[in-house]
Amino acid sequence: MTEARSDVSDSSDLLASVLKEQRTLRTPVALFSEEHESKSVRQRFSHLIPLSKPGPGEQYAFEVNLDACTGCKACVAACHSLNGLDEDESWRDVGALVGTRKQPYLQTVTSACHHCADPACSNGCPVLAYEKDEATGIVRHLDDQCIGCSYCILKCPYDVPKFNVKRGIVRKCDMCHGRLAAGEAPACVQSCPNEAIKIRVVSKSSETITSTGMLPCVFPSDYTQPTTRYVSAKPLPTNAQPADASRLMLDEGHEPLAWMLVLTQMSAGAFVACAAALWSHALDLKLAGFASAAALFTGVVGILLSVLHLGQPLKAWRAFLGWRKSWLSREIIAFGGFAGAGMSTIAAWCMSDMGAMRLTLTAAALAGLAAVACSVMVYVDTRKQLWSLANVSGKFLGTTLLLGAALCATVWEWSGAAVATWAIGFTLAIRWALSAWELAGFRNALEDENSAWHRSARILHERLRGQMDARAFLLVATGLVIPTLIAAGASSRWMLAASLALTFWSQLIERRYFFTAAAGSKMPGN
Amino acid sequence: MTFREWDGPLTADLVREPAKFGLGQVPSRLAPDATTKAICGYCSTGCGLKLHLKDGEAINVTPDPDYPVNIGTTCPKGWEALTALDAPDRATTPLLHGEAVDWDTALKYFCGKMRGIIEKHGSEAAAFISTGQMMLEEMAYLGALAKFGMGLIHGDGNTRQCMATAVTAYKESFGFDAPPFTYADFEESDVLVFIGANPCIAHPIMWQRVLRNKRKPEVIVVDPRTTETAMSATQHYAIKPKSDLTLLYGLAYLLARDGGIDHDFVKANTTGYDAFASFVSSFTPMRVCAETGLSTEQLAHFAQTIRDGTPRVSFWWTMGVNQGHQATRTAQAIINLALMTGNIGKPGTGANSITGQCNAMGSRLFSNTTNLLGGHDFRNAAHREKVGAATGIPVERIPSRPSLAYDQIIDAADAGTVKALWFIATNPSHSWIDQSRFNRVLDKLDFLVVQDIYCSTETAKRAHLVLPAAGWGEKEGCFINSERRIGYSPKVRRAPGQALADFHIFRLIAHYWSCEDLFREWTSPEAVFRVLQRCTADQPCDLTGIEGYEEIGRCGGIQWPAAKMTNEEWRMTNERRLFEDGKFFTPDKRAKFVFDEPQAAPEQRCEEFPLILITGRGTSAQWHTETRTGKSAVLAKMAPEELLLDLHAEDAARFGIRDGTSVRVISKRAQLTATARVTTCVSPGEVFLPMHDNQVNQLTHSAFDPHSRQPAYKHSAVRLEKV
Repeated sequence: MTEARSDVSDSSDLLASVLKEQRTLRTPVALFSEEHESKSVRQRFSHLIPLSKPGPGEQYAFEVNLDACTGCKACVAACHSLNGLDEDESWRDVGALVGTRKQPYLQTVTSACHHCADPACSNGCPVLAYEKDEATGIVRHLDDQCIGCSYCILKCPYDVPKFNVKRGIVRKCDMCHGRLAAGEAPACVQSCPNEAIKIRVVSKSSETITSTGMLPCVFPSDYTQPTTRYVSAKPLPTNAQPADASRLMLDEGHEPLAWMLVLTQMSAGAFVACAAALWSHALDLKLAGFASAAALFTGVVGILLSVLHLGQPLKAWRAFLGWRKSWLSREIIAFGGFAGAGMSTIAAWCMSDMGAMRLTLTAAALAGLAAVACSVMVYVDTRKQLWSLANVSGKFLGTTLLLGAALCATVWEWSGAAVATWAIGFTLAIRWALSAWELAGFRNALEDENSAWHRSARILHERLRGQMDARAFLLVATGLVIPTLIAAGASSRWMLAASLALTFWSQLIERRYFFTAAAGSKMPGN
Repeated sequence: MTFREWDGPLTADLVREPAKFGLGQVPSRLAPDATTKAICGYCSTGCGLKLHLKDGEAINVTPDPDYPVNIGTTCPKGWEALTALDAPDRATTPLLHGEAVDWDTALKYFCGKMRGIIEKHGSEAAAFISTGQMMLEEMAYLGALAKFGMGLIHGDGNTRQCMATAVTAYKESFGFDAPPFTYADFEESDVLVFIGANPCIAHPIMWQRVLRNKRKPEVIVVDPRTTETAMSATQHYAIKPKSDLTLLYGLAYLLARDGGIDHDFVKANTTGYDAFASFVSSFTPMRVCAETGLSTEQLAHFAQTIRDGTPRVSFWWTMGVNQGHQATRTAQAIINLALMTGNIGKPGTGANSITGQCNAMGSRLFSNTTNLLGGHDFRNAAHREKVGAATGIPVERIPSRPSLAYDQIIDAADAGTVKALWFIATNPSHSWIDQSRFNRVLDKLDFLVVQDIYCSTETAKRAHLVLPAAGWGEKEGCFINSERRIGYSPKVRRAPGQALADFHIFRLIAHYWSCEDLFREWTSPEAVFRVLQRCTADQPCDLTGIEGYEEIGRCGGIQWPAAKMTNEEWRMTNERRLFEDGKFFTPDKRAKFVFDEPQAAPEQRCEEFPLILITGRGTSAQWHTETRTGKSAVLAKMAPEELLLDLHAEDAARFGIRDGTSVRVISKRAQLTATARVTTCVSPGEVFLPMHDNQVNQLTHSAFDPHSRQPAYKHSAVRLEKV
């Protein structure tokens, strides 16, 4: 120990000496530092990890003894510290299961990545930034491959991958693969005071995985085949619920995606409307050209906006890599084709070739529909309950037809085409039909507690009421007030332009809550 | 350009590599070049931490696998021990009326103002409030400086809020403030009875020791709430709030009636048993069940379990008992159970108070507030002589009057007799009971000084003068944990700006006050430790045999007593309990049965306020007023984002409150808004709020145990309104 001088009498000397002392750190030797612990990490935790590597058809998996997990959350902190993660980052989380009035129950639950046998994150990744390790079964994320599209976040039913804003990529648990390879236990396993977390070797066969181990209240295991096993000497009550089950949380908004979806659907719809009008001989080349240009412009803006969604846009060129499994890859390819077809309509227009126009417009319409279908599948493939095939295709196709018709109606009205009248009528009809369908679905889901998307309906009702009200107002404005004003003799050109803008706005609101009210599944929280 | 990037800068961010020092793999950018050991500065468990050093500065923390307390694990607070030091709101310079000033100005102002008040209004007009969060050398310096140097009479500590009850109970029953246990007792018991304690959340590393018990013990939890610990227990008794004293007397009745008494032990080693036995004869099962809400079968089973487990029954209590309106008698009722069954002084036994703060136990012996240094009595002339000789302080400088207790100091400030208060490392503007009244009193003061590592605490924001302190890890010294283990913690970080170790601040004040001659020997923490060792000579907490910091570090901490003797048996083992010879610290060497008729809690339910509000710890990631844990983003993740009110489903239905909706919680004193969490973990008629939110103590009813003067946080009447 260094002792401060005791003979300092002058205040400024004393002050200077204590300030200096405060800034001085001693050498490790003076701190009684020790070279080694009595036992190495390898020795201390050998009983918590398998003695041998997984064999063929096997992989590593977490095993959590619920009877020993009492909610201290040391695993969450250790994962953060021992892996050098960012300030608020940890790949483990602790929540709780609770019982009911008749059957009280409280059980804390630690969870990390389940290193699924059929990982949805990996299957959905457009750039193959996930690798399920052949030998260990660990689902690894390739941080430098990731483009930060967040699709894996939407795909994982356990809410495991997390977006890292600072780096623009997703990061997730790698089961401390390097530690395991060196015979050391993962950080969380090392940290649990009660040895509640272990690593086990399990069979990768889907029957074994889906029939054992997962908690009763989480997403069914048959989708991704999560390998984590929760064990307990006491049977879990079947009606146990996550402690945060009734808390209505908003999901991530994905603003660029909302814009992209609405704009590209408007674009596809406009091409469809144009092609239909052309085949009905209701358009000449010039009018078709105008409308195609408007449609193409909208579509290209939509596609470009989607890039804003990426954390690593410069790496996005790899997005085709995942086409074998990823609907997002397919959607990106489809939109590439759609943009190409759209541009060819402009070429046909410039060449003043009606035959080519007919052909290219038809191609653009079909490519547009195919791309919208891919968009539908991107969301359906996440298996979120709000995003059922019927729901998503109804919303996306409805938007396609509604905004496509509205755009064409406006363009044609401004260019003085008679077919505009048809488009106006079609827009109105679909506006009301789509709204009626949406509203009926919402009412049903809100009233029926067993409805698949009851939770989403409650979020809309209780947390997003303002957005619902705004859409109701916009419906009355575009479906009733504007048509009445036009009938009363107001300038239909301006009225239609206004109607298009308001309808677009309404669909944009819908698309925002398509994301925020998705009520994605996750592991139990607090 | 490749199709798949397996490596690159983003991948490199997370690369781990083998470290030396037996640490296994660590993140490459946090690879240490040396390690050293410290004691965690949060709770009294006193976990050993291994600090990873780079160029002498700590960059990461892992639990110490060789420390006998925690055996290689620690709770999230320990893992995040360093994070709190990097916060942007650290106090980096003295603040006078909110303006940054240099130390010279601050210290001259401090001394001038304090002296002025004392000269004008007398030495009782200024007081200090110490803490269980500093090193014991610092708290001793503070207490000695304030009382011997500056001549103050009154000084107390924030330990009044957590441990005063255990102190008072032990002193009266055992003759000294002597928690008898060692953590090995968790592993040695056949029956563990936890009363008003939730170790799963509040002391997770002690719970680790319970789960390491290989004897398949019965674990009994007495708690109105179904806590994590209650869920893990084999028996849970959800008694009505504050009916614990009645329950304990009822158990004593059944044990006496059914032959559960160790008559030999009682006869040889205790006094007052007969009076106690006749006192509890009125605590019949019928009465006890009516008052506690238990069934007679439950009560009988509880008593039977104790009988069956004897002589390996240990009793453990913490804030549920300590923070009650009759807390001391309740703690003593627990002590009585251990005494009458002979469950004391043997492996797996004891009436054991689990302490709160990291150095509450150090404060109990060395803060020089309630007790004179070393567990002595200010009123005792021989004690004053002894401490004077041991410290070199002229005996006439040692006051012969004890201090007012914390609540009495606040009352005196309210009445205007105390004009200046100096708070060190505590945040009572958040944590004191009936907070609004407390803050009104602070606003009356002529001079309010706050010495803290943050300038942003609720209390610091009200201060006239803020003195910036170095935190844990930026200074060295010793802590004493719950099991009386003295541990050493080193300095491994530079404090920001002009912040100084509390030790240095006290040295400077002594200099500016011109009383530094009194403290000529008090030049470094270790020098002070030697002075304090001398003060403990021949006390139950004798530390004279300890060689110094190096030995403390080398031995994995040393439990007191550690006297200088020829055969220093205490060096043979690192897990020691007290009273193995049946001899206590009272003058007649016998433990005393102390008891009193139970009283109803002062604030009861009524028509207007039909619910009882219980407060307590929220999660293991939160510490008290969260001045430190609130700085860690990863700890913040572990706690609910909003203030949650736990409410039973029956009451939720009764008041029409749905889970997740906003409710107003209203007491006679204040109201706040919280989110309802409908649960079965509280009983109907009771609600729970975590103490960490800075509004919760606006609701609490100000009541105090008459013996320990500890605030009774756990029983306030409230009502709920939908927002």
